Amino acid sequence: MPIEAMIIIVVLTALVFDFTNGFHDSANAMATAVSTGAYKPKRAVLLAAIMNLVGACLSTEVAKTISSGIVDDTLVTPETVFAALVGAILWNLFTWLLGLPSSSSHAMFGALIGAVLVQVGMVGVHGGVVLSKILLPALVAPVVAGLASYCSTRLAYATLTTHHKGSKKRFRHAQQASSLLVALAHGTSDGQKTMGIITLVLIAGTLQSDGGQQWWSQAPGSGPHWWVIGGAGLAIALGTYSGGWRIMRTMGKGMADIEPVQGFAAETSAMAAILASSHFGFGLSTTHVVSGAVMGTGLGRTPGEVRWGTAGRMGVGWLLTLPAAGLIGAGAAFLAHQGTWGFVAVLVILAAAAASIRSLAGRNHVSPENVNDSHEVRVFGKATEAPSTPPTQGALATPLAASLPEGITSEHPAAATPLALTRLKPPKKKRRIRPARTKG
Amino acid sequence: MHVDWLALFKVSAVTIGAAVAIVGLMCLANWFLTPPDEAETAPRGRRLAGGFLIGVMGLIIIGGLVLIIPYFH
Repeated sequence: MPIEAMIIIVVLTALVFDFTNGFHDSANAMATAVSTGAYKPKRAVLLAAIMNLVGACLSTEVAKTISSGIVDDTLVTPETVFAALVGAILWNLFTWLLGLPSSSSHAMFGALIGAVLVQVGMVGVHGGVVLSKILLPALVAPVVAGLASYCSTRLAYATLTTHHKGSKKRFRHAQQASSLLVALAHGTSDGQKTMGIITLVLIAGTLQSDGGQQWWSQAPGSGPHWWVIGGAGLAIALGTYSGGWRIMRTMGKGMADIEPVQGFAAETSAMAAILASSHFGFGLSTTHVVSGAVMGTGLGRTPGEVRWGTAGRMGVGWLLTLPAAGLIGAGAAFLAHQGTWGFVAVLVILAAAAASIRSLAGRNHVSPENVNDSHEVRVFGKATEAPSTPPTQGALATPLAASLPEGITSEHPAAATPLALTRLKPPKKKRRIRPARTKG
Repeated sequence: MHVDWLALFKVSAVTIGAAVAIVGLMCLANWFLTPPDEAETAPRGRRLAGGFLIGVMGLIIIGGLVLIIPYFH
């Protein structure tokens, strides 16, 4: 295949990955804001898209350190990058179908490691860097963000003695600002990663070509072209605007029912974690940070309200991201290195898999209109409907006492939970009246 | 494998400290801005104190962003 055609295909694939990164991660900034009603769903993704675009164009420093020494950059070819992108896109689409918030960056790194392993073996992968720069931060990030979120939520609820209407409004405004900052931070890190990938491909292509200066040629060590910056920024912004409502439902409603105070605490903790880690040189996943923060804020208000089943599913997703994306990347790299037919076969497989996943997602469509209607995402079967308003701390006692069954006082242990009450007094079954049979 | 444990500890401390400080300031500002009784708005003095605290909170956030600029540029 001519090198120019290959470069164009790889750049387009990188932009598709950037798009999937946008819609996969739009929930990071806006899920809590949408679930608490701080923003209307469509306005939330529009603002997140703008902030992602601004963040992506802020500078190009992150773009220059794309592989961060995880693999040997000198061994990377356009085929390797293409295979890594295919692995990351497919894993992003699969986790989106399941509504699992997993890290797009980890998917990319896993697929890149898999592709390099197939191409050159263990020599091309720096194991120590993988442990210290990917695995350890992946464990620490959600714990730190969760702890910060837990502490700030406890503090917030300790000072909120009354549920004054104005308080809710003020925290909603504060949450609007904090979620925009998280979107900006996401654009700055993830938008630039794709710029780095494209730049890497252009440099590899320039080294492989016969030396003629092309419109896409790039010298090693130079910064990204203006069209790479613009294209990557637009792709992530468009992806963010398209929503990713399945993941937004899991992140905003699936782990815990949250209030504006909690949303503000979670977003602030996530923002602090991202900024602090960036300053100290740790490349944390925004997905891990925000998920940890949401869980922490859920624990900070009422520990029983955290849905551990959803949290467990997410944990399994995180553990599987690196090896699963690595396997797909390795398979794609094996095919892509077979020549033109292999390269085309990978493209066909990618298109077919994407179409199948899109079709499966259509069975249980999640949209801006129904994103808050349930707390679970299902591929098959119908999702359970969520209560219209989340229960608030201390607000259960009054309506419960008023609806107690006869003979049961509010001191009765069974009155402690609304669930117990429903067990005490099951609804009476209606008798079906059969029509009398007439003879003859 | 070299792991910079001190940097990890600093990230944890800064994250928890910053989050608690920002949320704490917001809660304090909210307490000042909430009218004590059934009144529509809080007295002028409380509103000024609340506004000042929100301003301080904004400055901390902007300071955090400025802190991060050397990394991005």
